[in-house]
Amino acid sequence: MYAVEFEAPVENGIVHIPKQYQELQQNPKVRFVAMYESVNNTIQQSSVADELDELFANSSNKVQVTMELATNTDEMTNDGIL
Amino acid sequence: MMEYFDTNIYIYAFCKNIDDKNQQEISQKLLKDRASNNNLLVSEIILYEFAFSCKKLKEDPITIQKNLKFLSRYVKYTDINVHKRVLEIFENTNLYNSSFDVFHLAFCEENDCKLITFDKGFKKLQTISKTKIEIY
Repeated sequence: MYAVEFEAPVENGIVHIPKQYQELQQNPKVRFVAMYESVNNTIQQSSVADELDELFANSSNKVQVTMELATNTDEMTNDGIL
Repeated sequence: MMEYFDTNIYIYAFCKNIDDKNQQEISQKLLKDRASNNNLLVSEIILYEFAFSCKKLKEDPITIQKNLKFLSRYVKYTDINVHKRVLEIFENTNLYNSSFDVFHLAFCEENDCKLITFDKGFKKLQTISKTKIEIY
């Protein structure tokens, strides 16, 4: 059993075998293992990034963020209500 | 490995008016990447801290709510083991005044994820757990 690895375009269900592997065509039966990135995943990834860009753009915080304000949550236990 | 961001990462990512552009770029890049690839875990406590801090920063309530809804997709509900581990850490370390940070650490331990923060205060927690803490 021989194994080769190549990337090839898929058009209408037909895999185009690169020239250097044309000898594959002489075999009546060949086992193919395909590794691919899901098109849906790629779309989902870009839509999450776009959604985040939109959320980032909506911000209008009047008090400037400093590391002290971003990390200090001490007041959460003393909000002055009680 | 899944990643868990401390609240300050979300504050710098979502708030436009910030003191350090570099921190914002790091936060936004991290968040986009991990959220897009579904490698993000959020606890309910993080949402509450985030909401509290955004209000303190005078962020628009509608914006806060939209951000919370987005982050809620990545929430993993807290297991009772997290609570037990928090109590155990308290008993062994006396870190009662860092209770939220101890919770974040225990949550990461339980869910086998890496903790990402800007808060250098987490250095004191690095020795008490196997959880990987990355301080930017």
